[in-house]
Amino acid sequence: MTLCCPKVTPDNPVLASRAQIEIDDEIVALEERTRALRTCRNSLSPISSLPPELLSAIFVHHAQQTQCLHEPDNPDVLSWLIVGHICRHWRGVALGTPELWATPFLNSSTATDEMLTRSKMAPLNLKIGRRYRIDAIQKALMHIERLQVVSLLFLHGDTAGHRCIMEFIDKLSSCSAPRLKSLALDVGDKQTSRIVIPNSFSAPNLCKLQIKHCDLSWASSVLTGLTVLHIKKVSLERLPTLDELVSALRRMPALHTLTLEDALPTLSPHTVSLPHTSHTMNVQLLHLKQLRLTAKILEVANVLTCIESPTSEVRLVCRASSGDPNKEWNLSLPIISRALESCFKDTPNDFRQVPRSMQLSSPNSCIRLHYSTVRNPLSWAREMPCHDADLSAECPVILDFDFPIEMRRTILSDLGRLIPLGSIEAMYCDFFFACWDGFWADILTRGGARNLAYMYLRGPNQALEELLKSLRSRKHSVSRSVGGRSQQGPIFSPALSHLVFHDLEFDSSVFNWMRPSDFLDVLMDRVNEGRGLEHLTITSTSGIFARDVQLLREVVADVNWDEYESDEEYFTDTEEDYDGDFIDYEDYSDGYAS
Amino acid sequence: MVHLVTSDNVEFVVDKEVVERSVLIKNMLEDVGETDQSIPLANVSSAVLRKVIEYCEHHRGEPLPSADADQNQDETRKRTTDISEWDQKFITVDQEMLFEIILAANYLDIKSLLDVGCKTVANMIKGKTPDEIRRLFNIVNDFTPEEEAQIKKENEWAEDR
Repeated sequence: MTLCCPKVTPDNPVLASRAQIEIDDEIVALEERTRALRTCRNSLSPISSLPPELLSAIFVHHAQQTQCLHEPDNPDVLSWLIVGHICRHWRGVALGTPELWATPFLNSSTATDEMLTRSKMAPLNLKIGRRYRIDAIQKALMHIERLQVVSLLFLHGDTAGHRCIMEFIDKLSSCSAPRLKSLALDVGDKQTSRIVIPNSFSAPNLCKLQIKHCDLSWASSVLTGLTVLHIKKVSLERLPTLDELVSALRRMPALHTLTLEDALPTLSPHTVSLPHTSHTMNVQLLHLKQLRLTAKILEVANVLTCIESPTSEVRLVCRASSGDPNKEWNLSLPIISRALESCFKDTPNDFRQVPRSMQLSSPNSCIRLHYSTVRNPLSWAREMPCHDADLSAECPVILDFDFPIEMRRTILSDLGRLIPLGSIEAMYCDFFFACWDGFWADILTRGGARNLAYMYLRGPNQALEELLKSLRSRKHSVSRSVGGRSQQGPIFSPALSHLVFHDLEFDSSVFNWMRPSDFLDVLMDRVNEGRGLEHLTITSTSGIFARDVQLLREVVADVNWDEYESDEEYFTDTEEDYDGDFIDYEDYSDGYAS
Repeated sequence: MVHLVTSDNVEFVVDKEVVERSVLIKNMLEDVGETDQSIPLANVSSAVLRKVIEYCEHHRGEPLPSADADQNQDETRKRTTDISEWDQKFITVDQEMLFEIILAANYLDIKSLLDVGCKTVANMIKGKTPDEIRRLFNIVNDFTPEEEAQIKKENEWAEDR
């Protein structure tokens, strides 16, 4: 292609200017022609064989993936916008897909304005993160007729957020929200004036209600036909009676998730027996999959007696009240036991749920026992302990008990008898409370250790000592071997093949049972019984050195040690610190025959 | 057994249970009742139908996706992001075949296959720059300066506080 430039010289300004205008016009025409050719070229690419509605579906998938990956206030949540930045056709499809724009980015007023316009009449999803623009939220809430999901969790109790929710609640009580399916509200715990959910509002499609630090009337028609209900931290004067709670639950026969945290009927602190409720008081929740109750243990038991459900995922967080915790425990235990039976025993279709793994932890000085029907729950492996991970696929049962320290033994022993542990294959322990003689036998009674193949331990020194005793024999007061003879007796957890020690301390004192040499003895005993370990992992653990690990490698095929402490450091420190001091070295011994 | 004839005139004889994962064919069979007559599929080539039948065979007997909109967030997430290992292998084909499968799934009304196809393309887009996406799909930038300016503004949304 040759370019023809008009033969005009700059000597004639009028002609030159006219020629330049002609050239500019031609450039514009050429640019438009180039763009048209590019558009035409794009239409010949394979992906252009997809009609706009399918391209649109792909964009929606991409946007949903992005929104699932990022918090609502993370700018990366907008990365899906890229689909509108590729070519004119894709941009046209994106702009013509209202659903794409229906989750406004509430950190930006401009974005919210534009997205509200572009989403046309598509149902809106409003979710806030830690950061937000209150004006953006207010603008979005104006579209009450097309709100589908509203999640306003003002965790720090900011007053603007509180006011915003108040206005929204006011509007809800007078306007219809025909598309509202999910409503989640939290105003934080520092607000003086409580948010009260109106007794009735027009949201015929509401199926999911999550409120925290808000009140509502238990007779409210809002509590009708829901499938997901989470109510947390209701004010004392708004707690339900048992009748009110049961009546509300009866209006939700399709409920599949129920969480009540500090929202259960109260009982007098002087309660000596649970109130007798007739069978007709019970509520059947046949679709319930997940049940979470948090309150004083008697209050939890009181509600559990009334719920008949096939749920396999249960979380009970039980506190002792200031009265007589032993009595409370004894009163509640049979009821908790019955509730757990539905998790771990025959269900009507003869499907047997079997706990395959167990976790013992001590968050916030509670005892937490966590059971799962999966041998290696992924959620446990990522971080120990795992508090809020979603475990729905793992059919978990989580029991938290916030009781006085002296009741720990009773609780663990009773639960050890309650839960069928014969199938436990993996055990994860991460706790920091004091143990007692026979600790592991209390936890793993009724042959609980029979199939135990994997064990992770992080805990106090006593837990390690007790474990070494238990591994050696079922008699938990093992005396040291005499005359080279090893202790005889039935072997503890005969299937154990993989042991993980993390963040523990071996001790070279002869007054306890925690020397690496004691551990070696135990392992040798097990090898002699044909029950040797296959894998041993030792990380961040002190008091164990290269020489010990070398000996351990003679009895365990696969030893993984992170060389947390080196011999050199140890001996140097020992010599410098204790040389000539009043330590009686006869109390210390590596325990190995020289 | 059901007889299907493709656009390139190849006949497939398929088990009714398998082919009924297509809502289009299921409805057709319900309308015409038991018949030996072939069903013409003018929009589907034999190469593509072979793949579609492979998919339906593998997923034989599985419950069809329900229209129940009441999915919890995790189910939505799963539906949005997860593609089973077998499906991933199945859908590892060249772009032309991928788009043909998506078109066929749409035409035959096989929602789960359409989902797999759309999710696969969505995954191809994930984490890429505009230039990378253009190269991937053999597309060139044909925006006007005005459109470029709009895009620049959209890119500023994330910084707007």
